[in-house]
Amino acid sequence: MLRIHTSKWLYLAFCFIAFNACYNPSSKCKESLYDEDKKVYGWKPKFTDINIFKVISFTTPQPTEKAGKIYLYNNYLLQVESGQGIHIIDVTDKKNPAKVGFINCKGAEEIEMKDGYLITNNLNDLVTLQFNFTTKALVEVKRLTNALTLMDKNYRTFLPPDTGYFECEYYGINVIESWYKDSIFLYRSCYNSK
Amino acid sequence: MSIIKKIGVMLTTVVLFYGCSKNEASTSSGGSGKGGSLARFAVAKNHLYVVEDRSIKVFNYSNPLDVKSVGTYFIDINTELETIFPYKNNLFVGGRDGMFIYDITNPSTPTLVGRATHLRSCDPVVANDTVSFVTLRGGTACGTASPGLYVYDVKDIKTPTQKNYTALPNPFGLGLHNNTLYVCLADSGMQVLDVTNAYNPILKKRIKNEVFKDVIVYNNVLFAFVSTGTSIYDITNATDPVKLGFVAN
Repeated sequence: MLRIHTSKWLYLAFCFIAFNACYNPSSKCKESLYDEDKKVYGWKPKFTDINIFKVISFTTPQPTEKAGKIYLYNNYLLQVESGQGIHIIDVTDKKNPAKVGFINCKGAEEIEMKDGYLITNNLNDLVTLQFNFTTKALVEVKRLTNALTLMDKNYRTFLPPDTGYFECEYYGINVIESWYKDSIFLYRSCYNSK
Repeated sequence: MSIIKKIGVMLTTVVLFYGCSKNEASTSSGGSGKGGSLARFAVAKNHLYVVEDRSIKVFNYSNPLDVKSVGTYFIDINTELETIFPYKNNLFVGGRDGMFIYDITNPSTPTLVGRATHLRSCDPVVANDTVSFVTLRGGTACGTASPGLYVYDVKDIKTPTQKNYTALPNPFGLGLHNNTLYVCLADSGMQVLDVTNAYNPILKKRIKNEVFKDVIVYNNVLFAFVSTGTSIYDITNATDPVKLGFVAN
């Protein structure tokens, strides 16, 4: 579904060999270099400070856009908003269930409960939350930083909102906040056909 | 350099399990609540088990305020693990190629004891009252595995035996309520199957007006994760769900 383009260094190596072989600067080598510099119009990520993504908070009901996994706890149905948090749905009245709030928790994909504590993932951190369903008070009680490696999977969460080329080679720890359209190097891009 | 070359269509293998009692079968019984059938997290025996691609991570949750990482157990099989369901002394782990059964007699060290890899149909052996249901979606990547509902005899946990296979177009989550199995089929709706004879599921009803992804069954109520929101059905008459309410996305 996604494919990566041939690396820069292969091109350079190829050109070096080709250049020596033909000894003519105006031959194919130049085109290869152009290929290497080729840009396409695609999605470019906007990065953010990872610490901004590690603040978990409660807020008013939010629209569901990328619905995720579900969990039932007493009279509440919890549903993951893929990569964004957890919807809280009051199902006390089965005929009139209603969203009552949303827990902002970046990267969230999973929900479990233990002794009344809510367990989820915040990016690759395993977090334990104390959430009072009545008063809606939310306290983070435990965080195991980088305890998980779900992030590769959650990468999907951070795919661009639409199909096409997108920049997919980054270095170091990067958290993608959003995507915008720009001119990007083909050799650093993947193609999202979904 | 970290490059994601491929993000394949996930095959979802989900496992449900019930014993000889007629108790409400749950999809995730260890925690304080109840999860859907697609979960990667499961609480059992005061531990949290997290299914990652090739491993199971274990955390000691005896004291939720002081969670401790216990270990990571890698699977030596070339598969991709996706779902987990705890039952008594076992974890039923769904992967791209089938079902893997772990023993958690010692909860901090899950041990692989059985597997069923969908490679062929097994010979019918003997009927018993312990069974697991598995759905497998989009089977082409697995070669011989085909999408559909698989029924296994897991009386001998070490040698799960395929007892039935029903081809289904695109199965997602599933839920079990006494002798009734609800199988989500996305665009094709939801099938309601009578599994009184688990090895011979009988189609009782199709609900086609919603795109079903996963369900949670609890106390005669079925909570359905559908494409447009969450639907709630009364299943007092298990084979004839009646819609009660709905919350839009």
